[in-house]
Amino acid sequence: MIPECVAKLGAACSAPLDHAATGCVASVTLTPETIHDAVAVMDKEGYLLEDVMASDLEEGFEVAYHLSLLDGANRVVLRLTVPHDAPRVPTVSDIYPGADWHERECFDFYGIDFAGHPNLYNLLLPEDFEGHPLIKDAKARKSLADLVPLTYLVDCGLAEPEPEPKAKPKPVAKAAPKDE
Amino acid sequence: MQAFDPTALRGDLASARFEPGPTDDKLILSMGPQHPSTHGVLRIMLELDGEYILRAEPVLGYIHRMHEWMAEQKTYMQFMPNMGRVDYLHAMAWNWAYAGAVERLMGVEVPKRAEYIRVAVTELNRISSHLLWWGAYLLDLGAFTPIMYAFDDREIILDILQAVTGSRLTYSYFTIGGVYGDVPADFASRCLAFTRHLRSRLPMYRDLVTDNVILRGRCEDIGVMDVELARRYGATGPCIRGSGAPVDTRRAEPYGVYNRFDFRIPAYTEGDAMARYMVRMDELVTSCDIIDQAVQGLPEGPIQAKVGKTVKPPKGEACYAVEGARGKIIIHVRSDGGPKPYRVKLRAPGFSNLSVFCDLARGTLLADAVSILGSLDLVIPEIDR
Repeated sequence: MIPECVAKLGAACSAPLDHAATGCVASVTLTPETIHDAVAVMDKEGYLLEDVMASDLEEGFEVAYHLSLLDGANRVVLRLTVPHDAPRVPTVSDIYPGADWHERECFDFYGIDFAGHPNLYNLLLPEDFEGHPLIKDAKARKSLADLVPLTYLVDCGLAEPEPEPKAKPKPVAKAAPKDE
Repeated sequence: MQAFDPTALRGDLASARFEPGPTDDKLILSMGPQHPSTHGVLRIMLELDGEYILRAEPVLGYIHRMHEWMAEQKTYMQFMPNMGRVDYLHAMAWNWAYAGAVERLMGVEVPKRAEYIRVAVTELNRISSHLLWWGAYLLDLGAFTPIMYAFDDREIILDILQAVTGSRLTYSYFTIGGVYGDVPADFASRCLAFTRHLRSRLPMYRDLVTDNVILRGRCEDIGVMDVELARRYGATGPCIRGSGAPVDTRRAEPYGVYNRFDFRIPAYTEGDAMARYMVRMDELVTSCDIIDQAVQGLPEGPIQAKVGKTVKPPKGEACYAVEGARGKIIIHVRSDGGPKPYRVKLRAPGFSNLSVFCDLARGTLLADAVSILGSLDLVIPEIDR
């Protein structure tokens, strides 16, 4: 069941998830332009930011923010994709100070630039470390459509940043989103 | 003879951010990475005015091992031993979070006997973690004796868990779909004897330490964190329960068979180091209650679900949250249908708990910062991963 506040996020799309099968109740797809306001809404609703998880996909870097209320099984995941050549996401550390380190960790591992971050430099890796260890080879990258089970996740913001994998999300459309 | 030029001293990136301020009486101090009160290899950059902290910033990464990269290189089962090394004090909870995430992805149902064994060993491990924290925290505060008592009791748990798992510290006892081996025949009686023993020791702990006026002076009103601060930093576990929010993943998102047990979630409203201390001491009793119920109700049956030799979850992603001794552990697993995970993300509670420290330490005495640091219950390998 999608929590009510998700309607206020200005999401490109949102899909309900089965908590027993995924651990989350809703997946909300946003863009770098809308993420900051959306996270601010979640903060007002009393959500706790659990972590910021980046992953390297064919479409670009996906950044996922996992939030849950203090009590109950109600984890919501806000996600967005940024292209590999310009991985720029606005920071949310001004809303959640705890996001500071999570974003620095994403910077360490993927080189994602969190615009407006007060101190975006190496957190876990040594300062003279070159490169970003979790970036995959182009060959090893998978498209979101290869990683997403059709039954529950509908991701419609995907096709815009890179038109190329448009052929692939065909099965995604089968999952019958209730949004437009 | 060359004149001494202080600008020629070059620190690293972290110390470069701590330049001497506009006044001369500021002291920049690098506490750690080998300072005994930082429990391992944490380093904290401090800007001091006399004995008061103006600014504090933890510097991480001294024991960073890149577990998330290792996960992508190994098969699902090969990654399991890493879980005992992320947080070596509550390894069972990490075992559980990883096994749970993969099971969720595969849709495996764990047999009831395995679920009960998982609860019993995880709670035993939680007690051993809290006991070690208790001893080490008091050591930080200058009391030497308590750690001897704590290790004495902890030794019994390690013996029980050694008989079950074969190892004493870095357990990798869980497997996808259950646990590796069955418990020995005397497991239940040893657990019950231990919980009885620990309950009899707790009044002594209270008289010896908890009610001690010196300890109270070092902990009360130190590092006060309200619920809102904890939420914004993502602090969980005893840290947020000490701030008055009785939230616990075992109750909020019941996993395993926790919803079958009757237990109390301790919470204190003061939000200071003492409240976090009291939460952990009360949790010893909570864990004893759960262990008693788990080993008394231990059902017969298989201990592993049939998952096949090679674990190959279908494509998809799943996360699994577990209440560790330090807070909410979450492991996200993303699969592309192959034999290795596509992405594994470890959410360590200590990471978020430590990030509150910059806020809590501001304006306190240096000696109190040591007390605050200890009250957050840090395990550096978990923070650095």
